[in-house]
Amino acid sequence: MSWLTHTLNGLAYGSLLFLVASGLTITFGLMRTVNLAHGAFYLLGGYLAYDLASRGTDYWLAMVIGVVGAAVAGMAAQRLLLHRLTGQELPQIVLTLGVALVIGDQILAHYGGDPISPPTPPGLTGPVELGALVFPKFRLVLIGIALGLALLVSALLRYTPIGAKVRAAVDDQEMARSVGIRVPLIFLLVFGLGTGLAAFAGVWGGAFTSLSPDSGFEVLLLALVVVVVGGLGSIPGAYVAALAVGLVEEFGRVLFPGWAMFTLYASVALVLALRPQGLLGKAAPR
Amino acid sequence: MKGRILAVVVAAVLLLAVPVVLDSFSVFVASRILILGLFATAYNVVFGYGGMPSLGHAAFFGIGGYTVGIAITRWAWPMALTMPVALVLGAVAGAVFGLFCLRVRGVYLLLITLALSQAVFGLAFYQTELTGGDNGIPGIPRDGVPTGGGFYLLALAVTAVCVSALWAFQRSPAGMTILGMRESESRMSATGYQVNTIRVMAFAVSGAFSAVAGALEVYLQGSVSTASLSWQISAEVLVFAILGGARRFLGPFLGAAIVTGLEVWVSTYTDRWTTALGVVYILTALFLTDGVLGRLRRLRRGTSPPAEQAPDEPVIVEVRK
Amino acid sequence: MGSPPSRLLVSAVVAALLAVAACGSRSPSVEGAPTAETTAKGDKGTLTVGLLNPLTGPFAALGTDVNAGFELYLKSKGGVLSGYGIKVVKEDEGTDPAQGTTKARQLVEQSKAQMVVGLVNSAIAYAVAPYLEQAGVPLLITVAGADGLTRKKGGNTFRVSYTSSQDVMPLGEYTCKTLGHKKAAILGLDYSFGWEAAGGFARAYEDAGCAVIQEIYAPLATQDWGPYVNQIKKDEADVVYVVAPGSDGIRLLKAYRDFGVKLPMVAHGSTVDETTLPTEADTAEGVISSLHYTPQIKSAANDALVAAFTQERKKSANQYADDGWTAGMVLEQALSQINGAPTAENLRAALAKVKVESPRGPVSFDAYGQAVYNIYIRKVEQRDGGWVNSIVSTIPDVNQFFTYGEEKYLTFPGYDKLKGTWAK
Repeated sequence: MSWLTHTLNGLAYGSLLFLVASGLTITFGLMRTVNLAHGAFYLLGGYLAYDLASRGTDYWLAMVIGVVGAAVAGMAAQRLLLHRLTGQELPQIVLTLGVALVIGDQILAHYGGDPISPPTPPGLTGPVELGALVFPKFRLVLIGIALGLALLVSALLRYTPIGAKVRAAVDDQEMARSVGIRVPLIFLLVFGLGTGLAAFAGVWGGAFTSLSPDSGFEVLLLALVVVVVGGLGSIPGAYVAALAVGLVEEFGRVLFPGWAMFTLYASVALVLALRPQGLLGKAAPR
Repeated sequence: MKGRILAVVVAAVLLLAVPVVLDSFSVFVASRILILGLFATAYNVVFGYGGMPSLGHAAFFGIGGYTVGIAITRWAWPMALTMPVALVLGAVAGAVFGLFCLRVRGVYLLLITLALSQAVFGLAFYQTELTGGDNGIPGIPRDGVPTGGGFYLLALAVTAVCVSALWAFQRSPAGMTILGMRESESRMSATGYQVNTIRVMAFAVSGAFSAVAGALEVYLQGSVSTASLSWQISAEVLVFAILGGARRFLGPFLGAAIVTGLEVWVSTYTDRWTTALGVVYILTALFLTDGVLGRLRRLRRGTSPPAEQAPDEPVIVEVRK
Repeated sequence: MGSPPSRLLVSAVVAALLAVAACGSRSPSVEGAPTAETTAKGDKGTLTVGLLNPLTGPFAALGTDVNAGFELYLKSKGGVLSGYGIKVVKEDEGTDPAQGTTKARQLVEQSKAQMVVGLVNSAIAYAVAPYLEQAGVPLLITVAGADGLTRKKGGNTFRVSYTSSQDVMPLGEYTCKTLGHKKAAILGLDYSFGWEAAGGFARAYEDAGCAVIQEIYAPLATQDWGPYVNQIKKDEADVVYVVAPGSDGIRLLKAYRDFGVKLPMVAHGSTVDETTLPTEADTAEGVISSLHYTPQIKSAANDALVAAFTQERKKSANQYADDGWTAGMVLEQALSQINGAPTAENLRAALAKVKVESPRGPVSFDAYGQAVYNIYIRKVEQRDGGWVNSIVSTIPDVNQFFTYGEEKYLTFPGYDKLKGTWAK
C-alpha cells in the first residue's frame, strides 16, 4: 500500500515540478533566452494572488490577476531589457539574475520575510479516502492539471497558426521575418506566456509548498534540472522528466535519506555529461 | 614600455601603502578584495580565456577552504602544509569537472558545472564528521598566520605570486593552446592538439588557484562553512569577470574589487542593498558586456564597436548558438 | 546598443530602480526609535550598540523582528538605558559567515560598537563569536541556537534566546509523564538545529521512561513532506514529535493533515511560533509545543511588548520580538550596575549578574552565559478569529542542562553523533 502512496505522491510532486518547469521550457528551451528570473516571476504570481485573496478577492479572480500581472511584468522586462540581448546568453544570465535579485528584494521589503501561502482552491483541502488509500485531494488534482497543461501547451505549439509562427520565429528569425511574421511581437508574447506559466505555478505550487522571498531560487534550480534533463524546448520531454525527477526524489528520500541533495545533482551532471541534449531531446548540442 | 614599468611601480607602492594608510577595517576589506580578486583571475582561465562559462567555481573555492579547516582541526596538520595541498586538491577537482565538461558547450557547460558544485555542496552538508555540516568549522587555529596589516601583506604576496604565475601560464605555449581552442576547436584538433586534454588542463589550473584563494579566505576568517560552496559564490565570480572585463587579464580582478567594495559600502547605508546589487547586474549586462576595462579602453580610443579589438587582445567568444 | 530613445527609456527604468533601492534607507525598523544620528543624551554618557541581524536572505523576517523588539524597548525608554544614551548602529548579518564577520568587524572597528546584539544563523554566530571574543566586545546572542555557542565559562558571549535543546527537554518529560504518550516517532530537519532539538526531546522523553520508536529526518527546505509523513509508523506510535521552523513547518503540517495522519503532535515551539502560525492556521490546531515565550503570557511586561509590537509591525508579537526586547532589558540592568566607563570588562561582569523580569518571565544567565528562563507548554487554539499558543503548563527556571546538571550533561556526546541512535 505504501508503495502506491509513494508512487502517487512522486507523480504529484513531479506534476508540481512540471508546472514550474513548463514556463522555463518555453522561454529557455524554445526561445533560448536564459531566464534566471523565472523563480522571481513564480513568486510574483503567488504573492499577487495571496495579496488579493487576503483582501477578500474571489479565489479564481485572484489567481487570474496574479497570472496576468506576472505575465505583463515579464513582457515589460522582455521589451525593455532582455530584448536588447537576443542571442547573448551570458549577458542574459547576468541581467536576469539582477532582475531576480530586485524582484525578490522588493517582495521582501513589501511583504516581509515571514512565509505565506496562497489560498488552496476551494474544496480541495484535506484527504480523499479510497479504501485503505488516503491521499490529498489537492495533489490528485495537481496530477490532472499538469497533464492537461502539458497537452494544451504542446497542442498550442504544434497545431495552431500561432504555434507555427512561434516555431518559425525560433528556428530561423531571418526567414520568419521575410515571410511577414512579426518576430519581436511573437517573442514578446511567448515570453509573456512563459512568465505567466511561472506565475500560475506560483499560485498552485505556493499553495502546495508556501512561499517566502527567497524560495524563488530553490524553485529555479529544480526547474532547471527538469528542463535540462527533459531536453531544451520539448514540452513532452519536460513532462516526462518532471515526473521522473518527482519519482526519483520521492523514492530517493525514502530509501537513501541523507543523500538526497548529492544524488539528485550528481545524476543530473551525469545525464548532461553523457547526453547533453537531455533524455528526450533531439537537437544536437552546440 | 617605460610607462608600463612606472605604472607597475606606482601600483606596487599604493598596494604596499594600504596597511599603513587605511584603518583596520578597510585593511580587512582590502585583504578580502585581494583574495576574491585572485579567485576571479583564476576563474577567468576557464571563462574569459578558455571561453567556457562555468557556474560551479564555488566548489573549488570551498574545497580550498575545507582543506585548511579539516586538515588543521581534524588532523592537526601544520599550517604551511595546507596551502599546497589545497592547490593540489583544487587541481584534481578542476580536472574532474573538466572531464565532465568534455562534450558540452555554452549553456550546457554552465548547467553541468552548476549541478556538479551543488553535488559537492550536498556532500559537504551531510559529512558532518569532517565538515561540521551546516555549522561549518569555526574557530580554526591559525598559528603563525599574521593578522591585520600583516595578513594583508601575506595575502598580497600570495596573490602577487599566483597572479604572476597565471599570467606566465597564459603566455606559455601550453596556455596559448587554451586560447587556440577557444578561437577554433577544429583548427586545434586538425593541427594535432588534444582538445580534450586542453580543456581538462584549463579547468585544473583554474581550480588549483581558486582553491588557493579559498584557503586564503579561511586563513583570514578562521572559519569555513557550506556558504563558501553555494551557487551564489559561483554567480558572483562570473559577475566579477564580466563586470571587470573578461577579455583583459586584470579585468576580473578589477570586477572583484568593484563589486566587493560596492557591497560593503552600499549595505552600510541601505537595507535594500540587494536591490542595488541587482541594478548593478542589470547595468553590467546592458552596458558593460566587455567590462569596465573594455569600456575604458574604448573611451580612450574614441571608437565604439567591441568587435574592434587589438589583435593581441584575446577576445571572448560570445556564447551564442 | 539600441537607438537613442530606447536607451533613454532604459536609463529611466534603471534610475527608477535605483530610487527604489535608495528609499529603503538604513532607517530604524521602528518609527520614532533613535538612530545613530539621533542618539539621546544620557547623564552617564553614551554606549554604542551594534545590532547585527539578517535583513536579507531566508532569516530576514526574524532579524527584523529582533531589531524591532530591541528598538521598541529603547524607544519606550526615550533612547536612554540606565543613564546611557544608546547609539544604535545596524548592519546586515547576511547569509554567509564571510559577510557576517565582515559586518561584525565593521561594527567594532569602524563604528566603534562597545557591544554587539544579534545573530540568527548559527554558522555565522560560530564564525563571529571568536572574533568578538578576541576583540574584547561583549556579544549578546538573540536567536542563533547551536548548543555549542554557550559552552565556555567566563567568556564574553551571552545568549538570551534558547539553545536548540533547552526548550524541548521539558516537553519530552511532559509528553511521557503528563500526556501519557508512551511511544514517539520523531520527524525533524536534517541539520544541526534539527538534531539538537530532536535529541533534547528524545533524551528527556526516554529518561522519563518512554520510548522513541522511529526517527525521520528531512533535508532543510524540503518542498514536499509527503514522503516523510508517509513513513510514520502510524500503527505503533502514540505521538509524533516534530521540529521544523519556518516554511518547513508550514509544509510539514499541511502534508500531515492532507495525508490524514491522526496521531497527536508535539513540537519544538519554533515549528508553530507566531511567524508561521497565521499561515499554518487550522493545520496547527491542537499541536502541543514548548518554548520560552508566547504572546499569551499575562503580565504587565508582556502587555507592554505585545501592545508596542502589534501596533508597530501590524502582526502578532513572537519569540523574536521578545528576544530583542529582553536584550534591551538585560542591557539596561547591566548598565545600571556599572559605575564609570562601560568597558568590556565592566559590561561582561554586569551582564553575568543580570536578573530581569522580562515579557517571558524571569531571565538570568548561567556561568556559561546562557539564559535561564521559564518554559511554557503551549497548545494551538483558535481565539478571536486568530490562532494562538495558549499556555497549558509552566516549568520555571529551566537552564540549558535541564535537570541533568552541567557536569553530567557536558559528558554527553554531541547530538549530531546521537542522531539515529534514539529509536530502539
